Amino acid sequence: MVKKMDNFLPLIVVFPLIMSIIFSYIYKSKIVRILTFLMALILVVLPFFGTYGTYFFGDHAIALGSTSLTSGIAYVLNPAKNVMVFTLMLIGSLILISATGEKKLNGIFTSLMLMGLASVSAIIMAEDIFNLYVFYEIATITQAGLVIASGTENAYKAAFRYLLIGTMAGSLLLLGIALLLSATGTLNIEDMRNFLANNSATPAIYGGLLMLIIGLGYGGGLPPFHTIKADMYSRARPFVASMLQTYSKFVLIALMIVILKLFGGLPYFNITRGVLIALSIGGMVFGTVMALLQNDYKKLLAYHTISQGGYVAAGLAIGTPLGIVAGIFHGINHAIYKSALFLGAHIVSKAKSSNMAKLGGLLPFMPFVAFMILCAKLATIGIPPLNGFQSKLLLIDAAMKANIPELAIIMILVSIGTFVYMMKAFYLIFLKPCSEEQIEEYKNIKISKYSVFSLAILTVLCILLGIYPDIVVDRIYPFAKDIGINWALNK
Amino acid sequence: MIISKVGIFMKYDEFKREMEKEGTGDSMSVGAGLTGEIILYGSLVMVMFLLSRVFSEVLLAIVGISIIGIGISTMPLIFKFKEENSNQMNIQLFWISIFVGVLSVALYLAK
Repeated sequence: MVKKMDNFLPLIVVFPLIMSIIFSYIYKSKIVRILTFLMALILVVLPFFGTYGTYFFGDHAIALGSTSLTSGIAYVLNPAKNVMVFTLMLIGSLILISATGEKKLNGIFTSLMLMGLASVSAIIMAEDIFNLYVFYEIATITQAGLVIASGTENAYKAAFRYLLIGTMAGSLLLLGIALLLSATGTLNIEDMRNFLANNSATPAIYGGLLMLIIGLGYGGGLPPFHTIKADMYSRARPFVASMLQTYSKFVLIALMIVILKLFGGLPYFNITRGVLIALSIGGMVFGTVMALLQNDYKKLLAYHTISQGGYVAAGLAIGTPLGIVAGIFHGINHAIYKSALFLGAHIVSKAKSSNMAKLGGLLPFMPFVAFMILCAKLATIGIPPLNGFQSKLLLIDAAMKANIPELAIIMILVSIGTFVYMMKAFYLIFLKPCSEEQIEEYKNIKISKYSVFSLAILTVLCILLGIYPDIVVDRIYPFAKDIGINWALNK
Repeated sequence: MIISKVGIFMKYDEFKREMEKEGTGDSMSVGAGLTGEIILYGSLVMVMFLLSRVFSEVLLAIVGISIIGIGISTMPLIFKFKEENSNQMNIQLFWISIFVGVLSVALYLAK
């Protein structure tokens, strides 16, 4: 294992963390807006500071006794993780740019955003499972903080519920890590993987796997934790929700990768694979059905996020190289088009309501925004040539190649549901005839140029990745080949 | 509200009336609700097929799909489903406990 720190990779985590502390001290200052904008620009270049490989903080690793096992905070950066970190930072940057157009911007908000970005980057890159847990907890607290920053009573309740369940899920995840440590003698994921591959399973290892799945469900918003996550997204301000769902998606991917890396090739993982596929089906179906029943646009988008999380989990749960590529690619695509949809909802919410029954006729007042929202909606449904089409095609292909056509059919069924509620929302918000009073109200709407700029960048990305998916897929495939196993249901 | 009044044997002609009571009785919302119902039952059928293949039990598929067929003809599932997916803490904790229990049994069987 390489034990060098010959580049600035730790800065991806450390720099936003330090700036987060600084922003929390200058939260009332007039320069917050300018500094937030500068931070947004720096975030985009930050992922390019690291070069690929394994790195130990402090340029050292501790050898444990006579074994070759190592301890210490380690990060791994490879092309796949770099794409994920870049997507995360880009979305974070665009949300911060949008936030600079808000009247009530303060340093605490920027501080929480940066802390979340640092935490989720660390979760993606962590090669040390305890380090992963620490940042998992920080990400949880950050998300609750961002929801509380919305300032409504319902937001407080949602954040409190999220933290309450998080106390349980986080504790169980820590217990799982402790069980795995006791069974394998290491916290390093690569060393743990080698140990598990060469030794028979013990109850402690089964227990550790169980707790990891509970942590995964909570962090990624899979059933039965989906209602808590959906409540969080719908109570936060829409542009904040776009960041929350991005955090959740990358936490889901990162934890799934850890589980696959540790257990993916082991014979006793087959039943767990079935459980993970069942959870992903649950996420897809529950999210879509609940979204179909919503009249509030924010709630509709919140449940849609759960549904798309199910797709991501399904690809990764299949566990073949193609499935992993499809899962990660869909996660990246989802983070992009869903951020666009939430930003669109943020602009629409300037019309004083997110209740679709009270909206309508907005198209003439914001045609360009409506077009971009429509692009994002078509991407999420899976219409070519947008990015959602490419990743959904890969997902269905992965399910068919694993000989699970039932899963492919469920994915298509859920896409039909997605089409119905997305088009319903578009009609009710933009096309439905509205009263003269509403038209007068709409004339006073002031759309933030910053939000429109961020929305435009995300829309361009939806189209770009739809036409050139290889930009991302080629970077993920070698990593997926390393951790995936080729299998098919032979029944 | 509407959920408490929904009986097990509610007919589909009552479906619209139930949605109207919730203030979502327009054709678009009713259509979306029925789409949800179809997705819910359709997914159950697919899951039943998948399970019957995994456990090599054709009977499981036949009996399971028959039960689902009886269900779809007499009992809209969606109102009950909405209740179980609510934000009530007691319901959430119930399903989390069920989830942990099922997961434990699944991993025990992996031995």
